Order: sequence, then C-alpha cells, then structure tokens
Amino acid sequence: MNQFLYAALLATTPVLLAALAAMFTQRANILNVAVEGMMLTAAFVAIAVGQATGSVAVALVAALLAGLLMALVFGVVTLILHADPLVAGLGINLLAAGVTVFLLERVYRNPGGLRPDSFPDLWRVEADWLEAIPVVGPALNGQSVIVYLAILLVPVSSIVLYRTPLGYALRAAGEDEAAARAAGINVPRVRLTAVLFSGLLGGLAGAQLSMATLHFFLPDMTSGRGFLGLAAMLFGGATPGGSVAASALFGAAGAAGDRLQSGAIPNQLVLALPYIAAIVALSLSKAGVLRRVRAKRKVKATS
Amino acid sequence: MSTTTDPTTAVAADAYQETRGDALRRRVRETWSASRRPLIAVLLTLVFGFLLVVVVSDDPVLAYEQLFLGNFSSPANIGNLLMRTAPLLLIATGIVFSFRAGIFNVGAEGQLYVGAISAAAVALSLPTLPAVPLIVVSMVAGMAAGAALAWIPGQLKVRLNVDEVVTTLMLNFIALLLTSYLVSKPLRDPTAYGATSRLLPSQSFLPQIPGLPTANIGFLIALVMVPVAWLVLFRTPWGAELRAAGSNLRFAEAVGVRAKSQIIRAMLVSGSLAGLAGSIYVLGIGHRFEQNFSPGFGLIALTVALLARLHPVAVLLTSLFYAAMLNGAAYMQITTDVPRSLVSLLTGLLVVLMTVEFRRRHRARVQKEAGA
Amino acid sequence: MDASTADHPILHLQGIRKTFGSKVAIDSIDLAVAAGEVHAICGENGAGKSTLMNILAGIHQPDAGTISVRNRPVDIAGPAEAARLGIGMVHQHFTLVPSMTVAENIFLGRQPRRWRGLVVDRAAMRDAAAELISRYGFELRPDQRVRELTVGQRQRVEIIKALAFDAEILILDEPTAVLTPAEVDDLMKVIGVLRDRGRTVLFITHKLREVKAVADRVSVIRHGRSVGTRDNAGLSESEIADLMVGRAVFLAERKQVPPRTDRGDDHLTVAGLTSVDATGRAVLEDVTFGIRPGEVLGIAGVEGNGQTELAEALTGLRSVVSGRVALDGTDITGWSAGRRRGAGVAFIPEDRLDRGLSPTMSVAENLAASNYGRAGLVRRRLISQAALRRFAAEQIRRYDIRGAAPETPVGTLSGGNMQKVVLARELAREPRVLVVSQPTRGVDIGASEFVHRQILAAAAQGCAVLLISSELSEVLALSDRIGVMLRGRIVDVLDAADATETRLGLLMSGGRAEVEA
Repeated sequence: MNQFLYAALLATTPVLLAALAAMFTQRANILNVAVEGMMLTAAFVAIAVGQATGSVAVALVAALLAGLLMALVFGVVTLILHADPLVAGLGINLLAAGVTVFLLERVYRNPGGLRPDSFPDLWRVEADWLEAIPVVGPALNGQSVIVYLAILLVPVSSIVLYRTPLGYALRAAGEDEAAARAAGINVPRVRLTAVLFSGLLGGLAGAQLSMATLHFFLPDMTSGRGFLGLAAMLFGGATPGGSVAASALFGAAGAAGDRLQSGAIPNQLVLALPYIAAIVALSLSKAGVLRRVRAKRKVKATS
Repeated sequence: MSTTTDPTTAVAADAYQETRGDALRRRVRETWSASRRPLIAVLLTLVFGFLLVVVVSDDPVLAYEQLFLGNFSSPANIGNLLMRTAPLLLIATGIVFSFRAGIFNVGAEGQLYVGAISAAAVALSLPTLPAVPLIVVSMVAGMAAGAALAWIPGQLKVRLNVDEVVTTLMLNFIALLLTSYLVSKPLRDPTAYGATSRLLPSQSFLPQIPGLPTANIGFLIALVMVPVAWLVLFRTPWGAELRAAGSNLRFAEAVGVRAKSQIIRAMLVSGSLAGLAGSIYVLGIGHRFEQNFSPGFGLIALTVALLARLHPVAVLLTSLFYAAMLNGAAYMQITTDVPRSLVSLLTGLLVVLMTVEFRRRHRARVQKEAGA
Repeated sequence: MDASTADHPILHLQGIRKTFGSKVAIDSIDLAVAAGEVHAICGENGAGKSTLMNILAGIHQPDAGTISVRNRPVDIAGPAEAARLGIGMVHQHFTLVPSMTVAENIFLGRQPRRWRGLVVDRAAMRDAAAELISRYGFELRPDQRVRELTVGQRQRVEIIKALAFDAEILILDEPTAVLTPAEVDDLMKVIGVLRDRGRTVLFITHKLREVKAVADRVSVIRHGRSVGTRDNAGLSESEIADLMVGRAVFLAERKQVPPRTDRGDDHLTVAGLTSVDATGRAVLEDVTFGIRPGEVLGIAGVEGNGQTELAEALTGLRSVVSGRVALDGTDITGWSAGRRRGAGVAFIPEDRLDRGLSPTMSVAENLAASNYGRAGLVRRRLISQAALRRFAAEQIRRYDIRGAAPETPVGTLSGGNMQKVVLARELAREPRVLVVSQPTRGVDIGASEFVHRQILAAAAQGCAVLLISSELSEVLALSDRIGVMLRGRIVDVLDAADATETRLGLLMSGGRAEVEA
C-alpha cells in the first residue's frame, strides 16, 4: 500500500504541475496545448545541463528557463502575432519534439536518448519523522523537492488566482475581455503573464519527469502527460482544488494501471479513463447549464 | 418581378460576360494572392533549415538535394513517396471538410487509428472472403469506425456546445489506448515481437501499381479524392451549404440551411476519410496493424490542410511536399551527417510561421467587414 | 436653469465632428451641461448619440471641435483620461464579470491591497463596496455574484462602479433599453438620488416619458447636429418628438398600390405569438396580426422591443412558447426555416453581415445560397458554373449591384450594394410573404430609394410585406397599416392615413395616443 501511494504521488506530480500550468492560461481564455512541448524541452534541458555542469541547481534552473522560453515563443506568436493558440500550441509541441531529437542525434550522436553515466541526484526529502504522518507520510518520504513544491503550489496558485490583483485581472480577462479592458486592465500583458506562468510550471513538470528518478531523457518521454494535465484541469473545472483532485485521481489510475499489467482490467483502458472523464465532465457541465436555463424558462412561462 | 429599366444599367450587363482570357487571368491572380503567404512561410522555413544544415553539415547542398531529390532517384523511392502522400492527402482532405464547415476536428490521429484497426480486424475475421469483397468490406469498416469516432464530438458540439477542439484532442488519446489494448490482447500476433496484429490474409493486400514496385492502388484511391472533394465542396449545392454553415452559421440558418446537420455530416466525412487512410495503410503497407504505425499523420495532415488554405487541390501539393520531406529526411540521413529529425524541427517551425500568417489575414478581413 | 450656471458649464462641447471613413457620424454638436443637473440627450437611432458618448468616454477622438471640462479645454485620449477628468460612463452593454461578486466588480483593476500590495484586501474591498452601496441607497449585497443579479441590479453595479472612480459627471447610455418598467421606475429614483448627491447626470435616450420624468434640461440631436437645448419644465412630449424627428427626410411614393379593401384573405396570419429569451424573460407576448396579399404592414418601435424576435419567429429561426403562424391558412408554426422559405417566406434581416450574407463568399454564392435547385442552377447534381454566372450577372444587372462581378467576395461591397445582394436573393424567388427588417440601415440615399421601390414592387405583385424599421419616416412612407411594438407587444395598429410621426413616437415611448389628434 505504501509503495502504491508513493508511486501514485510520483505519477501525480508532473500531471498536477501540467494541470496548474494549463489552468493559468485557461483562466485567461487560452487553451494551452503547448504544455506538452514545454515539459519535453525542460526535461531534455535538465538532463543535458545536468550532465554538462554536474550541478543539480543549475540543471533545475536551466529546465525552468527552457520551459519559460517555449512559453515565451508561444505567447509572442499567439498574443502579439495573433496566431491561433491551438495550431501554434501543436506547432510548439512539434518544434519541441523536433529540436530535442535533432540535438540528440546531432550533438549526442544517439537518437535513442540521453543517458549520462553519472547524474547528480535531485534533492530528496528523507526523514524518519515523515513516516509518522498517517497515510500520506510514507508516500511523501523520499520524494524529490519538486513533489513538495507541487503540493505547495496548489494553495499558492489558489492565492494567486483568487487573492491577488493579478489573479483578478487574469480571471476578468479570460471571462469578459471587454469588462477587463473597461477596468483598465492590459489584457494582452495579463495573458502573456499567464502563459509565462504556465512555462515555469511546465518546466518544473519536465524537470521532475527526467531528474527525479530516471536521470535520463528519452524522445517523447512526456508521452502525453501534458495533455493528461490539460484533461485533469478541464475535469477539475479549471480550479486549483479541482485540478489537484483530478490529477491525483489520474495519477493513482496511472500507478494502478502499471500494477494491473497482468490483471483482469486492461491497463490501457485504465489509462484512457482520464481522457474519458474530461469529455464527460465538460459535457455534463454544458448539459447542466442548458437544463438550468430550460427549467427557468418553464417556470417563467407558467408564472 | 418588376425592376428598373434604367438604360445605364442595361448597358452594364455586357461587362459581366467574361472572356476565357479574363477568366484565366482572374484565376491566376486569385491563386497567387491565396498562395503567396503559405509560400513565404515555406520559403522561410526552408531557408532557416538550410542555415541549420550549413552549421551542422560538411556538405549542406548534398543534404538538401537528398531531402528533396532523393525521393525521385528510383522507382522504389517514388513509390514510397506516393504511399507516404496517400494518408496525408486523405486525412487532410477530411480536415478540409470539417474546417470548411466551421468545426475544428483535431482528432484525425485517433480516427486514423480506429480506422486502421477496424480494417485489420475485419480482414482478419473474414479470411475466406475473395480479394475484392474483402478489401471493400475492410475499407468500409475502417471508414465507418473513423466516422463513428468523429460523430461523437460533432454531436457534443451541436447538441451541448462542447468545444470540439478539446473533445477531439482527448479522443485521440482514447483511440490510441483502445487500439493499443486491442492489438496487445485480442488481435495480437503471439509469434511477433512487440504489439502487432496477426498478418492479414494475403488476398486483402492492395494490388501494386504497375511500374512502381513499392506503390499500390491505395495512392490512386487517395488521388481520386482530390477532384471528388473539390467537386463536392465547390460544385454541389451540398458543398455550398456546408461552406455557408462554416463561414457564417447564422447566415446559413437564415437562408434555410440545416447548419447543424451540415456540421455533423462534415465530421462524418472527415472521420471516414481518416479511417480510410488507416485502412489503406493496413491493407496496402503494413499488412497488419502495428501500434505506433503513424509518425503523427493526424497532426501533420492538419498542417498540410492549413498550409493548403483548406483547398483540396492545394492539399495534393502540400501533402506531396510534406511526404517528400518526411521520406527525404531518411535519404538525407543515410547520405550525409544531417539527422532526419531536422524535418520534425522544420515542421514545428513551419506550423508556427504559417499560423501567424493565417490569422493575420483573418483579422484584417474581420476589420474590413466591421468598417463596411 | 438660470443663466449663471449655464455660462459656466461643467462640460462644454463646441463644434464636435466625427466621421468614420466616408460616413459622417456627428456633423456639428454643441452642448453645455451645468453642474448638478440631469441633462437628457434625445435623438433617433443613428442621430449620433452613441458616437458622442464614446467621444466623451475617450473611446473615439473627435475630428474637430473642442471639449472643456470645468472650463478647461481637454483632450480625452482614452478611458483612463476620462476617468481622471471625473467622467464615468455606464454603457448599454454592461462590462461586468459574471462570476465575480458585486464588490469585486466594483473594484476590478483597482482593489485595496495589503501585504505590500501583493494581495487584495478583500475585507476592505467589501466594506468600501458596502459603504458605496448604502451611500446611494441601492439594494445590493457586496458578496452577491453578478451572474445571480437581475438586469436592473447589474446596472446599479455599473453605476456604482462609475461612481467609485469619483465621477462627477455620470453618462448613462440608453440605460432603460434593457429594463422592465418597474426597473425603469427604480432607475428614475436612482437618478434622483444622484442629483441630490450633487452629481451631474447625462442621460441618453429616445424615450420621451423618461425624459419628462427625470430631466432638468433636454438637448436634441438630429442627423449628427444639435437641434437645441430646452428646459424640461413646460415642454410637452410631442414638442420633443417633433424636435427629434424633424421633418421627413425622404418621401417614397406609393401611389401605384391599390387600396387594401380590394384584396382577399390574409396571406400571413399570426395569432397569440409568445416567445421567451434564454433567461425566461418574455420577448414576444401575444402578438396577433394578419397581412393581406399586396399589403405592407409596418412595425414601428424603439429597437429592442421584440422586433428582432418577431422577425425570427416568423422566419423559423426562433422557437415560440405559444401562438400560431399560418401561411394562407396552413399552420407553419413548427416548420423549419428552410421549409418556410420553400413555401414562399422571404427574409431580409436587420444586420446584413450577421444573418444576411456570408462576407467571404462570392456575390454569386450569396445570391444563390441554399436555392441552387430552385433557381435551375443544378445540372446532373452539380452546380453549373455557367448558369450560376449568368444567374448572378442577371441579378447584378436587375438590382443594380455596383462594383460587383459574380465572383467578387460580397464583403468587399459597400453597405448599399450588400443590401441589394440580400434584396435580390430574397425577391428573385417571388415570395408570398416578405419579412424585412431595417432595410435601409447604413445604406446611402440612392440605394435606399431603390430598396424602397423594390419592396413596394414586391407588394404590388401580391406579396404580403412585414416592414420592421426604427426609422419612422420609412415606416410611414411605405406602410398601409402601422403597428407599434413595445416590450414584446403590439400596442396599437393604425391605418397609415391616421398615423403621424408624433402619434407613433408617443406610442413607441409608451405615451398615450390620444394626446394628439
């Protein structure tokens, strides 16, 4: 059980970070499919820089900067050059996949991946007292700092979104652009800030993926975790609480899927659940809105 | 109908009788203005790619030569080029239909996969059927599966106004995982290494094109879709109504077009063409269903369609161009020290450059209308 | 208003002019608003009221003229500058974020902060909002979410939002357009409170009853020019109506139409038609009328009183709660838009670019739209390009559509020529019923006359015409009978011979018809 919780938390973290990344842009009304590319680039840069410098701190910072850079490209292209966010986002993902494999082939002469002989370990939090915490303690013990950071980022995101002037501006810009402009909010700037936030979070997700346990980079190693984060965010109603709940659910399903390899329920169908959940959640919320309107209409018509 | 019989307007009628030369000149002008910007995006990408090749390679000219001309160095290479073009052409044509109807189907990858596995499953389960009926039934099964997968987001969009971009994206993953399950359990070839289906009955293999050993009639089927799609979109009342629904839904409704059913139909066409692409791949090239058989055809076809500005004839050119790049990359890698992933990088760059152009024009048009 | 305050107005406009391309929105406007007064600005649709307000709000810059605030010439470069000058604006379309609370909306973009400005001080924000609300005696709770409020309550949030900027001059743009009568009464009280608190209120409207109820002075604008400013006291509603409308600007002649007694049964019969909007509010209530072959029934009314919805309900674009629409006795209430068109219902919508045309498609495709089979353009299931071209060229000639070849994208034409494309498409089918809405909006004079002639010609051919227009002169010139719509109802139907602009204007604004004989 403890092992399972540990694995579930490990699987949840990148999805959660991707979900939070997508949440900030979603709240500013940008569907962020580029999270995947941001993560992938960061994962690669983390390993490449870690190998070159031998410093985990430098590698981590480089990964964040890589995520930020991809976000900047995405932001400039969509917000300043008015490209379609969907197509540009998919383009960013292609670009990330292309650049990483190109560098693998060209610089590292190995298209199969980048596996440094030695790689500095990402800081882990290991303490016996953690074991004493009921249920979650054993799952937490030995996880990387990024896992702790991700957990901490849930309330932080909530505060940023609901308690800061930036959060208000961001939500207003996403919900009603005209209202935001009328309130003197610089809508493009606020949106760009949201995109850059998502770059940092995506960078963190990528770093966790390649640095925390694996210490190597493989082409397409994100394998859809960015989209999984997107699904979790949508399933969670684009709120920090909903995102963490959905991510935990998806992470647990993923960890369970790994263990069910030989079980009765096919692994792939378990892994498909998050995406089905996202579609169902969206459909239900839309259907609910329609039903409420219809009910109201009936009431008014009969009164 | 009574109208004015103003002499000045009566004279003007002749002005609309266009001569052949005028019509030709007009078409050339229109084509140029539509293709100018995509051409610039392609050119910029190729120039950037060349600069990159100059940096990494000792023989940049040879690398670029291989990238494009390598495709034509032998009949086998030409055949491979055509077979690489076929799925792109079919999927992109389907995407043209959906985008023209105003619904953004980005789920072609999933539709391709369910189409491929359905065709494979049908061919495997009817091994005694003769060649022609087996091929037809398999293809129909593939098209039906693709259409069914596209029908879901269409209905959700029309009935509940659920954003089709999100649903089609999510359905891609669902379809990929579903086919992965099917190929790892019920359809799996126990003797093969990795997740592949059993080998299809040999009479289901698509016949070769004479003279091109590596090409089969799958390409011809795809090629036929070009004029068919063009005719349907631009020369039938149905196509006109579909485009009306896509360009201005409220207008379409007001003139009596059943816009919602047009959207569903466009999704069905879009999904079935992606499913057909999957069938042709399985029946013509793979002869079995392999997980990960697609190098992202769905996504590449989306760029193919957008680069062609959603015109079926231009889609033929852009899918040939992309297929040449994809295959040429391999020839380039063999001959020179430039890795084939250069092409993935350029693809990403091209998409980003292209959409910048795409939307700017759109905005300019909207502003013009607003001012009118 | 005594002379001393009028000489030192808080807001003074002189010779303001604004053009958009070739269109003159405001020709020359002079206006002096005294501090602490409620000043109504009246004018018909298209008179230039909204442009004027947008200039004051800093959204548009005038081409000529000067604006002085508190006797200092100013240049209102943007909304922020307007706010700095103490000008607050409440737009017709609210700028509120529905998921946020009243307090959050009031302070959006300028919240009180703590923790070195990092975090919004929500308690302080709520208290400040509560203080503002109670100062003006509004019935609102700071913690209510805006999406749960009624339209009237939302408007009050907008007003407080404007006042929270310390606006001394508050501009209300058509504030009653979206309100129910009870809410309108509440708004009148609110305006009274604002005046008591020393604010200056600029109140833009074309509803005379409201002007009479609340204004100190009235300025009238007509065709982008100031007509004059009067004290409200001693001014009658009909005098304001006369000022607003002026003398008729065009006179289409319709002598060729025979008197309606000669005609048979109604082509189009509408009985008890009722429809509601998404929030359940009735937008059409018990609408009943009939139109005979060859008859033009005009519908006059202030926009937003159900005219759009009536046109949609008749053409199959809006579902109805109850009531019946019949075409020559056949019940078509449940028919789709396409089926109604097939049966001979034609529709010229109020907004060409919204429902009338697909701007990116060609003139030929817009002319044929969904009508290829009927127009004989389909050969062996394919559209014959030669036939389509001939068809389009013929329509272009007959309807004098200028600057157009069959393959020209319709969006590149001028407003008048775009309207002719719509007209050609709808009339070429020789409809039995024509529903036409705002046929000459944004159309130049020459094309307007052409459009009017074509509508009358269609009627002369036996078509039953429903003409919806907010231009009184247009309705008067073309109609046999005129119905007046108010809040989703047809309040009265007059014979054209009995109708005058003043009388219609009074009915439109909810006044009594018997004021003038």
